[in-house]
Amino acid sequence: MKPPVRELLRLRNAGFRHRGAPEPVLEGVDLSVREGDRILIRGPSGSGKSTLLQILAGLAPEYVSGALTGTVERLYDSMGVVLQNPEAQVVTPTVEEEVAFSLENDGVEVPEIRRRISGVLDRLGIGGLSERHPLSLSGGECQRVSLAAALAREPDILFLDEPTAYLDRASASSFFEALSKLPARTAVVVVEHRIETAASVCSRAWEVTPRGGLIPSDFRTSPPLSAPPRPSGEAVGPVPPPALEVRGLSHRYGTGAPVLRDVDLVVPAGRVAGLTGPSGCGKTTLLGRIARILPPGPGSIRIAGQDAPARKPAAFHASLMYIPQNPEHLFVAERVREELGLSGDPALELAERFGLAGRLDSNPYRLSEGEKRRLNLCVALAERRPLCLLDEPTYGLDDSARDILVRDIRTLASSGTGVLMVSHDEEFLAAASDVVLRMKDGGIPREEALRAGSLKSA
Amino acid sequence: MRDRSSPRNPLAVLFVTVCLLAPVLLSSGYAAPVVYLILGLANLAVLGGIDVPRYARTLLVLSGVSLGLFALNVLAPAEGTDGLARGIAVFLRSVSLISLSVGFIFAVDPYSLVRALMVRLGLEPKVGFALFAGWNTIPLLRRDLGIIEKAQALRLGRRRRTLRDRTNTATALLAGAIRHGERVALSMAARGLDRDTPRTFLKDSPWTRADTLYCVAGFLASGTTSFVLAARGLFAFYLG
Repeated sequence: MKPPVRELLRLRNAGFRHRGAPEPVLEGVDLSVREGDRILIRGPSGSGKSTLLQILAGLAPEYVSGALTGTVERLYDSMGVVLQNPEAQVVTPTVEEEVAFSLENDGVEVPEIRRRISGVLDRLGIGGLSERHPLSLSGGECQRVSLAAALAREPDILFLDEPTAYLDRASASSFFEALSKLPARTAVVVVEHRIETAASVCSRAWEVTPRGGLIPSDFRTSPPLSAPPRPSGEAVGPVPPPALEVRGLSHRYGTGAPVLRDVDLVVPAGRVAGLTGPSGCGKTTLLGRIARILPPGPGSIRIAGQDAPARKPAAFHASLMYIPQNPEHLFVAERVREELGLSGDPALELAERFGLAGRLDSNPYRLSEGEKRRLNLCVALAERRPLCLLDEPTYGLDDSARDILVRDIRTLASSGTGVLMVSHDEEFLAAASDVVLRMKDGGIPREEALRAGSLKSA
Repeated sequence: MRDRSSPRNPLAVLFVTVCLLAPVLLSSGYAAPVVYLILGLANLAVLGGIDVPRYARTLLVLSGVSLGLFALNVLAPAEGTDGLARGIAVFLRSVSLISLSVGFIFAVDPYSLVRALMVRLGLEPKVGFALFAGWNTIPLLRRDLGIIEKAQALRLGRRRRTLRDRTNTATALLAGAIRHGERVALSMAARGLDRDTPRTFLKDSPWTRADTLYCVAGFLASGTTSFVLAARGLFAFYLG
């Protein structure tokens, strides 16, 4: 006879208002989670999905300031949590200590800790990493360590808050594959934008509505990102002059193996090139070399026909915009109006087109993730520089914000700026780019690089 | 810089370092700082695992402070004092204090020291692991600083950075650091750091008989040296 299925969580009419917020982020939420449930929580960015997960895990309001209303009954004995950013979960200097951390806090005896570490690391295929510093690992490996740390507790329920947001597609699939091997009685509640990947593990879906309610949902995927019309490689017309021309670029850190190997790449003016590839393949290093964040090395870089390394700093700075992964890194003013004003009147005029007209008096740091990205792009467009580099532009964005971003990047390119962007988000790259290049082992296949360079005018 | 295979418990190294620092702090004159500097270097040799070129480079940079103190005493001596003699004494004392302190930092892995404080001296795990997380954040901040400086320089189209530019960089860095800190704190809380149950430690910080002997030897060496120097009139007590 099967043992009865235990209820692990019960929410009745639950709501939550963050400290200082005028409106509650969640309201009237009812939810029951039982052993073995695999639940997907979906919804737009900022709708309160992560807050809901924090309530379920007992972190809000204890560690996340705000007022909780309604009834929350946590009936589970143990739980594990995996958050979005792998770097922000690292506490200890070795993988094995990281996995042991929650067990030590629970007072588990050391021989038992060792047994569980060995078991869970082997199960997730990272047994060979036990003495490594977690921050020395790739994003995918580091997130597996976080999962191992959560699983080592042998939890009744596992809470996952967009655990694959920082991972490439292969790492994300491999993460969910590891989840599918969980004991049948372990419940999983996962907040995830990659619906099709989460569907491989989850059996039920709920959606947080823009009004903060929770309604039953399904695993339907969003309509594909709309790709505005753009010139193809076969289009008639002259090939525009290159905004960026990279020849024979190589790079290595210290005495390590080369990260970039003889990279050739051409991005014509007014065209968008997307660059993807597995974590650690050299994408960000390539951007770092072009933007002079990294020291110079072998190879040549020409921006708008000029030899970039030889240019004087002022001329070099005027030749490109670099929009880093974290949009806040570009902020230099206390108000959006001031931020835009630094790029002249055109930037302020563009604010309306980029949906920022109502936020001109806001502090840039208080904008939503999507608005921060749009502010960056607005500035880039107003600056009218020959080249714009974007590093992972879709982090933290939901489907509708990504859709808007596709249009904004096309607008930027249509002004004559050559755009090179690096992303794990292949669907986004396919929609926004004229050509998508795949980087592997520090190189770009020559035929792909040539294809990028031969994009003609429409 | 870190020596994970250091044979001595970090707290034993701390004790011996304090034994060597105290007499330098309490003396003036030329002999005591030099003798204790030699003892400190011998101690580092016994401990082993020091990155000597990096240690030397660090001392070279920090000795600028000592030179500054020397120059101050020579160029603007206090009334009724021999500026040159006082300058040399202050120089030697500061070089010795800096060498001993930096030597300790180079000899002990910071994680091991914090772990030893938690395991042996009952430092609150909340504090100890916050220090772990803080130490982990340093390379991330360094990476972010490079990105912010370059991104903002490109944004503003200038290389020469004004005070305001530096403030903007600091603000962006601070905003990121605060957010990172909040997330790490949430992760630690989710993993039960605040639980009231007695905590276990996967990695112990063992205190062996050799650690006791090392401490006794360090204490005796320091004490005996002070006694011999005092007996020969070379240890002038001075607090300041």
